[in-house]
Amino acid sequence: MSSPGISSAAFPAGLYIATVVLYSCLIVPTFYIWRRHGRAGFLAYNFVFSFCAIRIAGGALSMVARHNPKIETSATVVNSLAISPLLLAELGVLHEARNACLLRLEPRVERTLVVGFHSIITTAIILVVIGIVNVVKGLSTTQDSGLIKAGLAMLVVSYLILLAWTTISLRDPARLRNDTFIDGTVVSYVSASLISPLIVDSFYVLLQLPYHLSA
Amino acid sequence: MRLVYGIIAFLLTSPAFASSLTAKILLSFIPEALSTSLFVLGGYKTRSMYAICYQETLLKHTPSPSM
Repeated sequence: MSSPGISSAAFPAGLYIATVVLYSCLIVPTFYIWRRHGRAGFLAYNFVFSFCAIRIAGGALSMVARHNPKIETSATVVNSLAISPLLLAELGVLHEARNACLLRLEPRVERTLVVGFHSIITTAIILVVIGIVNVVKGLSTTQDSGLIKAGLAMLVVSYLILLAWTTISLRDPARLRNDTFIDGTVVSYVSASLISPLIVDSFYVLLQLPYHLSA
Repeated sequence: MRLVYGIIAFLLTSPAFASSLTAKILLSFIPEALSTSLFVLGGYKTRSMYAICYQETLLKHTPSPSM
């Protein structure tokens, strides 16, 4: 999520134009990579693709909302969804890296863990979106919205679990050092390096909430 | 060093900073762009991952020619 509840007019149009241009450039290679990684990379690159699409739509809606306040709510909700697909994509990349690097992996256990984790994150996203819609409609305020607090708490816990899981996965990969292992290791490091920017972004979301959600 | 930490803590807890364009760019726009670019770079670098994996499996299951 990013800047939930902040009016589109709060930031200059240039920021939204830059967002649309940047993600329009990134969505093309993302689609190519998604196709190249096939079914195994579906969980990762499908969500990166969704993230780019949401950012383009959010930027475009925010620009239009400056002249047409009727779609302000839509722009806010679309902008609020953004970082959650990145968290799901991070989980997908970790799953792909674990499949490539770890030999003694129980496919059924791994699949159950990933599906369970996806369900938790999706539930958190739904809670936050419902909470934001309620705040925008004036049914509650940020301070009173238990839905937003519960959703954000679930997302923060998800980040911490993902951080621990990535660290454990990087520790002792047990596979012969062939090309698949080397590529899997690259994917592991991508997964690990993604944690910091995602944490900074989620921190920004937490920072915004007390002051601006009731806008 | 403590002064730097103090300034950062003050900025991060200040309502004026939280709603500023600087915070939006530093804490939201750049991390998101960085994450997506990392995904794209990592994905592009490992784009042949499964082609190699498939070749390995194929070689493993192909009977060696009898001499």
